[in-house]
Amino acid sequence: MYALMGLSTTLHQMKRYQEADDFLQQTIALGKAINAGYELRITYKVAAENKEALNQLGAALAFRKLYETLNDSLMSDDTRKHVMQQEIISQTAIKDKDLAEKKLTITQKEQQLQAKNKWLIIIGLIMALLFVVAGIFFMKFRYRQKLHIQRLQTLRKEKEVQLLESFIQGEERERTRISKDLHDSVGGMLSAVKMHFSAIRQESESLRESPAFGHALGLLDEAVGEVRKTAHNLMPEMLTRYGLAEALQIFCKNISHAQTLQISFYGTGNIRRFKPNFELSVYRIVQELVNNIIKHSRATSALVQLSQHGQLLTITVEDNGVGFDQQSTGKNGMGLNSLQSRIRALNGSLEIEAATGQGTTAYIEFDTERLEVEVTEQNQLS
Amino acid sequence: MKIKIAIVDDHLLVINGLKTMLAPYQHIEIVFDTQDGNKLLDELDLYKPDVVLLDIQMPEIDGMELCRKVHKVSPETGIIALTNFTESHYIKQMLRNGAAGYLLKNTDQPTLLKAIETVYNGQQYLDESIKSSLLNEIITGQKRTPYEIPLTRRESEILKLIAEEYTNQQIAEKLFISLRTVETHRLNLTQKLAVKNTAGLVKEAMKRGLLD
Repeated sequence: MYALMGLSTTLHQMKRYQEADDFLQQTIALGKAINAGYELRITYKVAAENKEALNQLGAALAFRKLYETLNDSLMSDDTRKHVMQQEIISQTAIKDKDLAEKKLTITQKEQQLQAKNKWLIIIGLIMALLFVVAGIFFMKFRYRQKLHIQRLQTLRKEKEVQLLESFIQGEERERTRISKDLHDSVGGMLSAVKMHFSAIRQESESLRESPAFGHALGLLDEAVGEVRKTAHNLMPEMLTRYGLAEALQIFCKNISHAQTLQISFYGTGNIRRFKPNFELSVYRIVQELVNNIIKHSRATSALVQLSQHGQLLTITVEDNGVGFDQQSTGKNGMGLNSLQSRIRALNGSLEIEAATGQGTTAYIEFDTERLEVEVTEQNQLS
Repeated sequence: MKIKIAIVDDHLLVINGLKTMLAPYQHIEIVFDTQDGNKLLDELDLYKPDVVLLDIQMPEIDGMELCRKVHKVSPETGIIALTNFTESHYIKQMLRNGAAGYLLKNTDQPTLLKAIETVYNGQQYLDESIKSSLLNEIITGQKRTPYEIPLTRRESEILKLIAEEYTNQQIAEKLFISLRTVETHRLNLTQKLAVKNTAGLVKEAMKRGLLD
């Protein structure tokens, strides 16, 4: 099309009008065929001028008219197009504006949102902080409460221990009193009676020969011995004088019966002297364990072992008797419980191992820190 | 020359009983008696008794202490302990503290007289029952051979485990006891069996047939 247009226009300008006319005809035909308005318009104009140059004025006029008509229509087309374009532009502008406005609102909203979020975060943080502080206070409170309860428990325990201790002390005081009474009044009196009778016997020939009198004197001897033994059991003076090892050794020796029950005693390590109350308590505990053996075990031999290494005092009391079932603790268990609490009151621990038919072992441990006392010169001599 | 006697006993009845017992003997004179041992120390120079009959258990001053003091002040005075105590500890202690005789309170007249005369002559006198008690202790108090010393069940158990090369920690874990307890048992074993080290313990465990 443009080639034809260009060719015809060039031919027209070169004043080869006849040739240009041919091509113009072709161009117009083509332009009409492809409906190329603008190009057609220019071609019409060139054709009009060409016809004019060929002196075909009628045809020139016709082309001129065609040109003008086309021009007009194209102009209105252009205007319309322009208007449309303008409209589109304005619409776009409006849209853009809207968009911008929307964007603005969105940004504003976003900003608001951000501000809101900021506040939310701050409030959240404050809340969290409050929670943490409250938590800390609560924990502290709980801890204090726990501590308080613990302290109460320890106090209660201490009270129990104190009660037990004072109970035992009271018992021991009473025992000591009775022991002293026995020794002082009955013991002394019996000894004196024996002495008097003995003097009387020397004065009288018949009494010296009398078996009955001799028997009576023998009984008196026994009475003196019994009183002494009882007094000793109530308050073992060996203990206060020589300490646990010696006292327990004597105790084992005295309580052994050659035929029925042999109780051996072993002391190993360096057994020291302790506070009198503690020594007496330990002595009583062993006494009770041995008494249990005598009463219940039907044992033929038993062992009492005392040892001290460092600040650990250990006691083992063991027999070869019938033992007992540790699960079914009856009356025996009650006795053991009382022993258990007494030992715990002294900061010690008791472990009983027993099985039916296999004897019984009691193992006791005491931490003797703060319980030891300096050995006096007299005791060292022994 | 009469034998001058002083009696110290916190029981007046006993003092009177002794006086009655000694009354028939012309060569014996009771020059002083008291229930308070401290008085004897004060009056010792004044009466210069040849023999003192002395109780052990007295409230004011302990008989043992008094014995030591009297012996120190006046070594030539013979002291006879007159007591109900039969335990050898008391006897040995009194003898160490300077006593020359030891009598039980239920003694009869002839024994008392013999004791006084013996001590007066500078010799020692022990009651027959005391003598047998001391002898008994010498016999039974002999150091037992390790074989005769029974082990407690726990000790046997631990000895066996030691022989099986368990460490103290392992033994503690196995027997559910504390390490300290195991160590104590171990020390006791070493002392009871008179061995020096683990090798000795293992040897003992083998001897006792603990290792099957």
